[in-house]
Amino acid sequence: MKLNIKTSPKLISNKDLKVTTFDIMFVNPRLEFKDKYALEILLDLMSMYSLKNRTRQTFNEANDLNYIANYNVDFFNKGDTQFLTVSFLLPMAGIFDDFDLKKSLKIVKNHIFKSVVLADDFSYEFNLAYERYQKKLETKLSDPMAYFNDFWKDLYDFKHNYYHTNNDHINALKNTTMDRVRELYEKIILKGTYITFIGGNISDKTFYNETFESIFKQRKEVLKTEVDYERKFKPDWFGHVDKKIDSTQSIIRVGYYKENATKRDKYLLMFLSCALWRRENRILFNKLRNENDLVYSCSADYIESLDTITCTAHLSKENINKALVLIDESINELLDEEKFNKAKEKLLKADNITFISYLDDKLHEIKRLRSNTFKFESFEDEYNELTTITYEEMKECIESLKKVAELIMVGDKND
Amino acid sequence: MIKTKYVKLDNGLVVAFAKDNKLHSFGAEIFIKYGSHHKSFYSDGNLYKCEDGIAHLLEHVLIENSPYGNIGKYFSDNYYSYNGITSAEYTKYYIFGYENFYDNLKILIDSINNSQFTQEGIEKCKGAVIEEIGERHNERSFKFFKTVRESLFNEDVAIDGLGTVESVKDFSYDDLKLIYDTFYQPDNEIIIVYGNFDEKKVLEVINNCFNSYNRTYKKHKTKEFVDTLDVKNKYVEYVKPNDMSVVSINIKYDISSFTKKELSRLETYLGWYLAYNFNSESEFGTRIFKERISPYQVYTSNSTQPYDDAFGILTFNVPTNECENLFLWYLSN
Repeated sequence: MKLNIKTSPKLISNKDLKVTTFDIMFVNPRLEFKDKYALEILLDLMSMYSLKNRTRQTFNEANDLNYIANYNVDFFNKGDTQFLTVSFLLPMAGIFDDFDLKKSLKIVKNHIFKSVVLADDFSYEFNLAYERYQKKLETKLSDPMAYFNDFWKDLYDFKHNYYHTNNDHINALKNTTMDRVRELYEKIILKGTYITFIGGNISDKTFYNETFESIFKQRKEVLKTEVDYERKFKPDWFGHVDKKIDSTQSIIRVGYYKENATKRDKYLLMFLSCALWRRENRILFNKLRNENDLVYSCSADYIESLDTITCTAHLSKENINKALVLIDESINELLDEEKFNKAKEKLLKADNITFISYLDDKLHEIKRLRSNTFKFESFEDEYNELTTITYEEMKECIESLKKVAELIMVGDKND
Repeated sequence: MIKTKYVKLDNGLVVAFAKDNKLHSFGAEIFIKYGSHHKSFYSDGNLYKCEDGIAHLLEHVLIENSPYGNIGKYFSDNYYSYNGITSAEYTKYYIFGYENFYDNLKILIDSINNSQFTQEGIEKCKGAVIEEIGERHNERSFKFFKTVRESLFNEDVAIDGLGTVESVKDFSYDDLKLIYDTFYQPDNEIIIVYGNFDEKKVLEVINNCFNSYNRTYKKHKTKEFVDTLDVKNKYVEYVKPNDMSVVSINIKYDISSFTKKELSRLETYLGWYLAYNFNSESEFGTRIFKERISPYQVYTSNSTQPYDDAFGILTFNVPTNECENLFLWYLSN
C-alpha cells in the first residue's frame, strides 16, 4: 500500500450539514505489541486532559462556548501501518452567527499538540489510566471467551506478530511506563506524519489560505507501507477442546480454515461468511434459531488474517451435538448450486440497497473521501469482486475448507 | 424540523406520521401498550395475575407464528430491518427498509394484529426464549440489577421482563391468548410511520387490514400498583466478583399525582440536576479528579418510565471508600 498525503488537507463542502467535522489522522508504522497499553493509555490521556489545565475543564469551557461539540481519539492497524485519528465535531457552523471556526481550530490544535504527557510529572493521570486498564484486563480475562486468545496461538504458526496470548497482554500492561507513553506521544503525534480532513458547512477554499494553513502547518511526505499477514496452519493439529466453564450456558465455536488462500479466496470467504450471518441470507441463524430454536443468538465471523471462518453459538449443553451438525450443514449449504445462486442474488441486492442508504447518510461523502485517500479497498471494489464470484469457485473453496477447531465449553451451573 | 402529525381512527388506533420527502427509506413501528410490568390486569372485568416474562414470550410467538410464517425471516429475506422489543411499559415491533413499503407494512400489521398462533408454535418458541434468559442471566451485571430491583419493589413489579426458565415453561396457550385478546387491539395501539411515504396510502393499508380481521376483543384495563413507597429491603450487601465496589443508593419517589406533562418536565429537570451536580464536568466531578479522590466517577440515572403513574427511581452508584463522603455532602447540600 502506498500512501500519498501530499494533497492534504482535504476539504469537502456540504451546505446540507449543520456541523463541521475535523479529523486529523496520524499515520505511522505499526507499533509492536509490547506498546499496546502504552498507546491505549496515551489515547486515554489525550481524551481526558490537556496540559494547561489538568482536568477536562478547558475543553468543557470550549464546549460551553460552542467551539467544540464532541471529540474522539481512536486508532486502527492495517497491515504494518497504524492510523491514529483524532476526530472533532464542531457545531453550529451556519446556525450561530458567532461561531468562530478559527478559534475552534486553535483549541483543537492546543488539545492535540499540548497534551498532559508533556508535563514534568503526570504520574497521577497515568496511574488512574493504568488502573482502569488493569481492571479492564482482569474483567476481559475472567470471561470464558478469553480462552480463545491462547487457543488461536496454539493452532496457527504465526509469521507475524499480531496475535497474542493472555500472558502477552498481562506482560504488555505490566511493562508500560510513563516514559514510554511520553516517547510514543513525541514519536506519533509531535514528529509523526499526519493528514487532515475538514468537512461540512465550510464556505470555500479561501478558508485554507486564511485560516487553516496558519494553524496546521502540514508535514508532507510519502509513506510506504506493506500489508503482511503471513501465517500458516500447523497441519497435524486439530484443535478439539472440551472445557467446563462457570456458566449456566455452554459456548461452542467451530473454525474452518482455507489453506494457501489467494486474494480471490479472501473474497470467496467473505462471501461465505456474509451468506452465513448477514441479514439477507443468515443461513446459520436460520438453521440454529428459526428452524430449531436451539439458540437465542449466534454468529459467524471471517477472520481475514487467519483465512478462517468461525461459527459461534451460546446454548444449553444438551443441544451441543445437534448444533455442531447444523453448523457443518450451514457451511456446506452453498454446495447446492440453486442455493448459491439465490444467496448471491440476495447479497448483491442487499449491497445495492446499502448504496441507496448512503444517499440518506450525509456524512458518507466524508467517510468515503477518507477511505479513498488511503486507497483502502472501498465498498465499491468489494462489490465488484463479489459480482464475479461463480458457483464453481465457491464449490471448490468450500470443499477445500478444513475444519481446524472445535471448541466446546460446557456450562452446567444451576441458575 | 420534521413535523409529526397524529390521526386517531374510528377504531381507536392512533397513527403518527413523520414524513421526510428527502429520504429514500421507510419505517414503521407498532406500539402495544402492554409490557413486562403489567403483571396484574383486568380482562372483561376479571382480575388476572401472571408471572414475569409473558409479554416477552408473546412477542416471540407473534414474530414466529404469523400468517406469513416467521416474519423475522420474511423481512430479512426482503432486505428489511426488523425486530420486536418488550419493555416494561410497551411491546414494540418495527420495520425499516427501502422498497415495497406498503406491502411490508401490511405484513407487519397483519402479523401483530391477526395472529393464529397455536400451542405447538408456542412450545417451539420457548427454546430460543429460554436461551435468551440463559444469556442474560450469565451477564455480569444481571445479579446486581436483580438484587436492586428485588430490594426496591414488592411483588407487583416485574423483576426481569424475560422471566425465568420455570415461568416461561409454564405459560400456556390460554395464558397467551387471554393477553393477546385483551391488549392487542386497535384502541390499545399506536402505529408510527416515518420516511418518504404517501399518507393516504398508509391509511388505506391500515384501514383495510383492521377491517378484514374477524377477532373478538376483550375489555382491557391494567391494574394500579399495590406497591408502597416503602422499599422491601433498605440495606442489602451483594458481592460482585471481579468488579469494583460501589455503594448503590436508590431513591424511590412518588409520581402518582403528576400529569404526563409534569412527568416529562420532571424527567428533564432531574436529568439536568444530575448532570449539573454529579457528572464529570460538574464541580463535584472536577473535584474528584483535581483533588485525586477517586479514579471513577459516580454513575447516576433517573427512571420513571418503567413505573409510570407510580414511582420514579433515582440511582447513584458511588465508588466505595473514596468519594462517598464528598458525594454525600454534595447530595445533601
